[in-house]
Amino acid sequence: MSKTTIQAELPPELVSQAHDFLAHSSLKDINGLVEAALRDFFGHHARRSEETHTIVERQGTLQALRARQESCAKSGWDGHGAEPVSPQARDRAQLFLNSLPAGCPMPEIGAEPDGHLTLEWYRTPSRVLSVSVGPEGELNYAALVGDTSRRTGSEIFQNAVPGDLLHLIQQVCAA
Amino acid sequence: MMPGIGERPVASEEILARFILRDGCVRADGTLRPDPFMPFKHVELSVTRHLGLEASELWAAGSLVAEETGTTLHGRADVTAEVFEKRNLHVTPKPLPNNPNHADVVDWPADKPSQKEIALLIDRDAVFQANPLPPPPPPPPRAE
Repeated sequence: MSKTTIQAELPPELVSQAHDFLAHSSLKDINGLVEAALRDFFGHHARRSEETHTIVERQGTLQALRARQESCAKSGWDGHGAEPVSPQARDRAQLFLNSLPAGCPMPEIGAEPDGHLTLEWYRTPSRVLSVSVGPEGELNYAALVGDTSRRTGSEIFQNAVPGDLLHLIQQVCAA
Repeated sequence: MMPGIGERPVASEEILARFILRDGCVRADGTLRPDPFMPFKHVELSVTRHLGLEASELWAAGSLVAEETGTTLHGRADVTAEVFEKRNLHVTPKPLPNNPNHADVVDWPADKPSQKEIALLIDRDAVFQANPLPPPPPPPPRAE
């Protein structure tokens, strides 16, 4: 008979619960305890994995943001006389991205001729949200949510992503 | 005197090209992002009418714009004039010496969220064509 050993660090509260349980339970209950502990353990690691993924994705988006600002830093970068995208607009956009809650999908980065950066959440041409971020923290946005529903708005970014925008991101990105 | 072909009023069914002179505008699924449809200085959007032009002449017009502005022609977005008209915009012929088919899309709303909404709606109906011509070689390094 082969023997498999799993070495893993269980959360201390689970170990404590297991000791209590073993002290007061019969052998037949132990299977249930082990099953619950494993479920919690793997659930805990799945959450950690998701958080790691979010951090990696966010870093990639921040890199894209820096690259976009550098490539649009001179007047006329679009061939049609666009204003330069300033480091201030980049810094505001970076603050915005860092304020998105963990697990929130990251946008694609673009720029507009008035020198604002754009953050785009896209699923299809009819389900898309575009948010412009200006150097003073101006947020202008428009969204198509299906063929008939549209939303637009303006806000000033004050170190927290407005709830309306979080709701729109959720609507656009929902499976 | 008869007006030149590029001075004739723009018909609703006419196809207009917006030259894409910057990278990062094409999504992974091959569709175009709405950013190139935002009006310049909030008032107008430059386009080129297909009117009477062969495809090669259209690409040549785009290449010329890229050359003059020191940019690269990545492609073009084709949109019918009707798409702009549906959003209460108007297409006005504005022939240029080097581009007799040039036109401006005008009458944009003043506020930016409305402009963005229109850009999204135009983008939804636009067809992106990548530039089939190879980009020009980089300039040779300067002699010391």
